[in-house]
Amino acid sequence: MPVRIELALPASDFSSNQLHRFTVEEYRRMAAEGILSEASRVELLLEGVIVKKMTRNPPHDFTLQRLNRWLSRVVPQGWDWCVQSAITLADSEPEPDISLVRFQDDGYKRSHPTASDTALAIEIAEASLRENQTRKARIYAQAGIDTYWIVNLPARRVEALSEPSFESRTYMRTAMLAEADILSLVLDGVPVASFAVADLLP
Amino acid sequence: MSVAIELAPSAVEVPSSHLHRFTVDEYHRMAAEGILKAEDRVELLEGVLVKKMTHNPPHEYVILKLDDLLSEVLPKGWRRKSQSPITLDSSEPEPDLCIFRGDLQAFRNRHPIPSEIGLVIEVADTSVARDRNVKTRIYGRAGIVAYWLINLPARRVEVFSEPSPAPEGPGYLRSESFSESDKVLLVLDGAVIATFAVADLLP
Repeated sequence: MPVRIELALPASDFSSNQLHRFTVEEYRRMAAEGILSEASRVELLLEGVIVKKMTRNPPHDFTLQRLNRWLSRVVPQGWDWCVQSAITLADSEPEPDISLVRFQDDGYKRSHPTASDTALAIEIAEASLRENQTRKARIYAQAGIDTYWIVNLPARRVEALSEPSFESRTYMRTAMLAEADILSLVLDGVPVASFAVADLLP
Repeated sequence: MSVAIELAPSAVEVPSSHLHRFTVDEYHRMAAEGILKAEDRVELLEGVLVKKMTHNPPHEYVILKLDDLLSEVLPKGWRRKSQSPITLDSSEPEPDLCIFRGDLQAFRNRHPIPSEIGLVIEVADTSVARDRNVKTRIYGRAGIVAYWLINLPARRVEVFSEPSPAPEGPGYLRSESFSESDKVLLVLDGAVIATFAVADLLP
């Protein structure tokens, strides 16, 4: 006797271990060949998977602008900062909201900064909070990026992650900085500037 | 003030809505440009490149068995192929078996399309969830008239028919699940071609 089958429609169709992974080189070639067209340049390579960039709301851009202005005042010689620009890692090419990179004479016109050029990555998180706390933290930690700040807009705080561990693919230290706290920019082990968390938040 | 928080770095699923979707044409170009190689065992499912499962002997046995049975009953004009692509709007799956028709010359430059397909069959051992959810949706919405899912763990054959293109729908309006003591009908073009005992299809 036949029986009816209930069809369940899950939210996530493909578990991440089922997804095909591209190398950074294949990702670049797809862009060069127009397979990832200019119109779809809203994509990132994260752990070999091409994912869409999140749309950004005004509060996100407000904080981005605050950070941008602050950095323009305090970033010392020998360093530079990039806004939503690609950095090239082993199997990812993310575009952090801000990346603090070593100054290079050619302005990285031939290649994106790598993890060893990058001292700090900042992501401003709203809807993308979980993604930033998990996948991005794993990617930045495994790449060995010293410090990673998540500006957690819903919780109105900054989560400052440091001491990346390649083996455990995570940051060993997390500091939670509330509105009343002060954020300290440390480059090559030297504190260079500080900023009130409250001033970053919309 | 600083306190440590526990962040779970592992077990992050990529939400489906975040995945970039390729078109079938882009997928073909990736193969042509060598960005996808023969050893990349993937299929395009709703624009996403998904790895194909490794096949166990019971899975392969069922495909061979089906192939034997079909070789005796397929009417003239119908062809069958195994684990090779069919082209849909935003997918290019490679079902375990596909029964289709059409002039041989038509397939010089393209794969079979839904209007030529009489039945697709997937044999599922570890992939039951994907074959039941994603594949049912893909085959049904594409208008493939019938889909059999041979569910090895449950030792059942699930038969889906009456495809519906509704974008939010499950793909097929009719589904039945047959146990080992049941029989399933092979229907092509509305005519019953053969009757198979479910027990004969299972390893």
